[in-house]
Amino acid sequence: MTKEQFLEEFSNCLGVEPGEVSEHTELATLDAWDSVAYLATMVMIDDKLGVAITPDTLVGAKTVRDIMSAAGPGLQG
Amino acid sequence: MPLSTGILALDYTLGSESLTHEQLEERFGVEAMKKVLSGAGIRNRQVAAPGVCGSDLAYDSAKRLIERTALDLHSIDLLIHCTQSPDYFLPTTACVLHDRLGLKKECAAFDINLGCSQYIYALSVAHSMISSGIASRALVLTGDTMTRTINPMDRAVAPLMGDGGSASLVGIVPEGEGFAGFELGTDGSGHPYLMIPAGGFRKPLSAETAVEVADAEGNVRSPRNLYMSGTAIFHFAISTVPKVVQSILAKNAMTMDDIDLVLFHQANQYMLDYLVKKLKIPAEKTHFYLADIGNTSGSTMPIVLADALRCGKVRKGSRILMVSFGVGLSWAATIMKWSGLA
Repeated sequence: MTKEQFLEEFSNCLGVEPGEVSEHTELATLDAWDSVAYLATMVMIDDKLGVAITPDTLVGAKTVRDIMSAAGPGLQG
Repeated sequence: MPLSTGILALDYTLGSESLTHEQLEERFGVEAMKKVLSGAGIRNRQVAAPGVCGSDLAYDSAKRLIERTALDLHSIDLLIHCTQSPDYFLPTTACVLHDRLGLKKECAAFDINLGCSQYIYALSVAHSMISSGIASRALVLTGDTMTRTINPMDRAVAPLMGDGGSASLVGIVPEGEGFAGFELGTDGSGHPYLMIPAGGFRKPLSAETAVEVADAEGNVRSPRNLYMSGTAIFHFAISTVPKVVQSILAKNAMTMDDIDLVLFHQANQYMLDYLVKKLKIPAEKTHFYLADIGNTSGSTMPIVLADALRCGKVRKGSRILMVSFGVGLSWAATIMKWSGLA
């Protein structure tokens, strides 16, 4: 999965248009970053990258890039 | 050689009152409930009427089972009752139910204090005691009113839960039928993720435990209420359940092709859909009964099994894999070859 594909999938988890988030986006600025989005993100990363990301990681993430880093080496480019 | 055992009869009871989507829309708002419906997949919950205890739901289920099967009560020498909402701190609710059901004195009776995994744990105990000759026939009862423990303004759990109870008759079946094996497990490090912190001996009820606090998402609760970290439980489920399923299949030298029906603890449709996808289970090999009744805690397993029977998804000889998971954190799975109902 490329970083661009990840951002598109992550946008789907939030229910926002692709392009509304970048890897530099601060999660605290996103109204849609709530417990429902946590679940969707967990499922997306487990499903697409085979990584069981922990809730602590999601709650502690400041930016989208933090989540991408935690999602592991499956992200390319 | 240990005797084969299986489920000979099954019945269940739901809470008699409805808590509808529309009622919760008034409480939490339309947008919030839209997310609940699309995520958890629950439209309606059946909750116990005021004054009705989990043991009443278990008792009603047992009475119907006894009458329908013309069960000889003298044949019952084991009563296992599963609950986390007991009638009293003591005596154990199984003793109260033993009296109400009029069982003989030469009958072991005890509670199993587990939540979502309770039913399969209880089946494993009944199987062990019968197959080893300690008992010959068991009533396995479940009954909980977990909705009573939830703060009405806690949007994280109030829309999810319902109340229910069940009764199963467990006894000897022909060799090669019934339970093929069990897989039981625990991760006690996860106990804070699903708990009622106050009301036991560790944190007795006090003025302090009655204080309600809103969390970051506006969910209100006190330490007397059920708390669930939805994300932690979700993570636990999607990372543990597939391994448990693969493990019990491997231990029984089976693959998913050998299984006719996979039944999960009915927690949350979003979670169950993902587990089905991850385990590559064909749609016709599973069954759900959640949307109209809610998550009835430890009773979901017997209730979804009974509903699968009603829908004709279980036949004599069907191989059923059941897996439950939740508070503890605790999990349990079994594979059984259905031997038909008494």
